[in-house]
Amino acid sequence: MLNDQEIMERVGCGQVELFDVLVNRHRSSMLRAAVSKLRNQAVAEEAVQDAFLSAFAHRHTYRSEHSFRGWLWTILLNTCRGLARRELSRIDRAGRQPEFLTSNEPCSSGDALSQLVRAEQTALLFRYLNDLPEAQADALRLRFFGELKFDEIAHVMNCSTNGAKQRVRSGLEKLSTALRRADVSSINARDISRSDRFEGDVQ
Amino acid sequence: MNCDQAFDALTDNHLRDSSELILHLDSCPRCRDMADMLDPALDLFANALGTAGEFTPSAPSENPGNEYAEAASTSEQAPLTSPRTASRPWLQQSQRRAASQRDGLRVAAFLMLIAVMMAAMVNVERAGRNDAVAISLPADCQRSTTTESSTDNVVAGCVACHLRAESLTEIQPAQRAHARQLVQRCVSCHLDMTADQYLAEQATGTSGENTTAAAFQLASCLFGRSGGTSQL
Repeated sequence: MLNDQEIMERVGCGQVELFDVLVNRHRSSMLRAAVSKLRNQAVAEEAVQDAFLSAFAHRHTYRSEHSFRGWLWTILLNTCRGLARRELSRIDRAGRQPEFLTSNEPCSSGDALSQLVRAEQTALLFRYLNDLPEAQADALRLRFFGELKFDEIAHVMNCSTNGAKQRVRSGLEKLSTALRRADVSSINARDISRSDRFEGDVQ
Repeated sequence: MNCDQAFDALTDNHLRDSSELILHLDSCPRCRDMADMLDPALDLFANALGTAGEFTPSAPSENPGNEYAEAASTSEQAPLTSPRTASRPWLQQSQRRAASQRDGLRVAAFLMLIAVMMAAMVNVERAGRNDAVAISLPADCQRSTTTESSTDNVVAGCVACHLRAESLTEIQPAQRAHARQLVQRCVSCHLDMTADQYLAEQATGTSGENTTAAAFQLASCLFGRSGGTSQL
């Protein structure tokens, strides 16, 4: 199986149909990252499509000594930033809040409950990611959604490898702290609810 | 594997359970602390990314301003950061052994609990055959509100049973005070005297016919039938 660099070399030499392989290979993870960043399925799909179109249009600028994934994700993050600005100005004009995750597809698999729980976990993750500083959230997206290595993340984010690690670590620490806090508060809320019910029973 | 590589592996979904990482975390308390610290976030990523195939996001939120509160809706009964089904890879061997010992103790405790429950069920069945426990208080009984709950009816059943014991010393001190209070309420209501006065009459043998009749009434009230020797 050809790796990304080899495919890009062949695409550059005229075998443009091979670009489909790259799209199929990276689309899902890029879409996940774009949704988490843009909070809107339709805009995220537009961002991913634009990123692939842009990568194809500028395929001659790609240097095979660099990581293709790093190059592609750099394009994606830039596209997302541009679309986010556009959406923000549209929201300002319309005076409404942005939607969050607008796709509502039915569950086709037999294990619908686990899919639902997983979808909720994904939505929860996206919301917490949006609460982090952008650099840390992007570093986490690149590391976990894009599965980029730290030197690739450093290349995309224009920082050192240690800087990329520090961003991922700081982001994870903040995320864990927030989750622990939410866990405790949800347990407390359940306890209060139970004691209320108990007192109601006694009365 | 050094600490730097351990962090790489820890943040890589494919290497997070690798034996090399486990070995490193077993021997490196600093990395183990870090892994524990980052555990909720790493679990959340693992759960969210666990889906195979195409990514399908969740349904839209109707209230974007309250997204964090909404997030715990369906999985409210479960912790927000529910751990993965696999055991945590960075637990030390000793911790894993301790965990398995704890599991064994839990199983033993569970079995013991079942045995106690079965014994209790047998006792309840026996008690059901003994109508002394199943007391029925008369409708005009002047019980206070503290004795009206079903819990106190159970206690009253215990009192009725224990009063038939050889002596009150067979009753646990904690229950004895409660039992005495309950009985005193019955006595003061049915006999128009305190329990001490009743005891004094019983001891001196000065109780008259009225008192004896009232005592039978009390016994009837407590035991649900006439008869039985009160052991106040």
